[in-house]
Amino acid sequence: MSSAPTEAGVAARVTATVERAIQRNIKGLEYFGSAAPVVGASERDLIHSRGTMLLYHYRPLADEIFRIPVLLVMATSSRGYILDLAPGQSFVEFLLKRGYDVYMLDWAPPTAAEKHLDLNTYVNDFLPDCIARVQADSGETDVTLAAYCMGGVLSTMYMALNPDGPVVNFVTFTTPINWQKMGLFSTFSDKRWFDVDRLVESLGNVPPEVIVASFDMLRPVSRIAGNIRLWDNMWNDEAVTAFRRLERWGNDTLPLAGEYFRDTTKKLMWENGLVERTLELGGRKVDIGNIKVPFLHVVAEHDHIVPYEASSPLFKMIGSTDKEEVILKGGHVSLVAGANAQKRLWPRLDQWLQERSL
Amino acid sequence: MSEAKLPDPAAMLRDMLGQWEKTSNEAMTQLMATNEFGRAMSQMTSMSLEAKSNFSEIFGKVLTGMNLPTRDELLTVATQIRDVDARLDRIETLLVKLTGASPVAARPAAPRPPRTRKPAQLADSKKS
Repeated sequence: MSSAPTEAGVAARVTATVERAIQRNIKGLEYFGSAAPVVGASERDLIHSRGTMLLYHYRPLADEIFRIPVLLVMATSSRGYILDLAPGQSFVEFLLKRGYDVYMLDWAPPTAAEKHLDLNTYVNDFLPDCIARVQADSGETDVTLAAYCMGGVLSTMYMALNPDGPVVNFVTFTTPINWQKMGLFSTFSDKRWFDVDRLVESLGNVPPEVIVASFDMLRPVSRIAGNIRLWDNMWNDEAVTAFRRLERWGNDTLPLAGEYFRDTTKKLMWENGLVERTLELGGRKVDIGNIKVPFLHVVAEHDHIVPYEASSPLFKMIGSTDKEEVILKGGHVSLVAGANAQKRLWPRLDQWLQERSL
Repeated sequence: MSEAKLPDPAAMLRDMLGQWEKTSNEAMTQLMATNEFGRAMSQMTSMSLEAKSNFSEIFGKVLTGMNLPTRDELLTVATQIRDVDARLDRIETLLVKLTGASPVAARPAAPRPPRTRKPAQLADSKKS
């Protein structure tokens, strides 16, 4: 049985509410006047760049590292700092502290002159070039490839075309393979009404606003709700900084090279070339069944951008016998960044990678 | 006998916000999943992007009239710099082939840790 709330209890609640309201107003004003939070926690060197392609090496943080270097491949529409947001909130920092030698293939915005870059360039030129640089820089012939979202799609194609190495371990995070299960993206780009040729011919590269808008439309009111939550949490510096880091990343979307966008729409979205096994790059058929190296497939249970049905065929189609699928709670971004990732994904990946990195 | 929990209006509002977000997102995405919406959106996107492209063209003419470089002209200069960069890259590749030097540019000589790390379990079992 419970008694009525005491006067002291009511007074404490009122005081806390008023204090927060005052803090919201003060910090709200500071918010609009302050610079965006710094992102990118770990020291790194740009070891190779060619137009849109950037290859970084992160400086090791352990006294002794695993033999096989890890190459992270970012999605072509997103900045790589989502994997290295801030000290203590960085996937890269976690890997470095656990003793891995980490490289990242990141992307600069393609210029107007790079509109001709197509899927073949990314898969048969940029990826092998970066892998060769990683081999040369590390002095090791074996490499682990770990790729996020569209980076996973490109890496899957590369792996299917290069089954004999040098990649010896393959990890994908939220990688779309069955493009007919991409939900609203499939509806928006249906070939009955989406004229991709006209779009690419008139624009050259696809501007980031189109990509941000299409992501926003998957959850149309979430941006409004997010801003209301930001106001609610304005008194809490930590929550505001975390929100701003992710918001900065979400708005810092990259344009896509025109031909690459055309290829993605036609060969993946319309023809579903990876699942139907019709995709050819550089005159060679891309067969996921060719991939035989140890494989870890990580998917998010509540991913609204790449639903489970879109990524799950990869696990079934891949030819590896040493393969594992991990379905974790969380969404497309929280899978790799944020508290959820720190607790769930990072230790799980470390466990899988350790014994395969010798 | 414990004190009754105070109702928290702010928490109730947060719950309501969460519910509103969930139901609104579901309702709107259902609407957007229809063919009619897809067709309309596609047409609108094409129209707005083409309008933007036309506006850029007109604005470019205004800038030219003011003797200022347009964005395209600046991009052309950037592209030319990149082309020079790419040419240097090709020269570097050729030099690597000819001399057999490492294809990775020389970096400040930071000591690299040895690649001898073992998984925690394996290392522990060796110690015991």
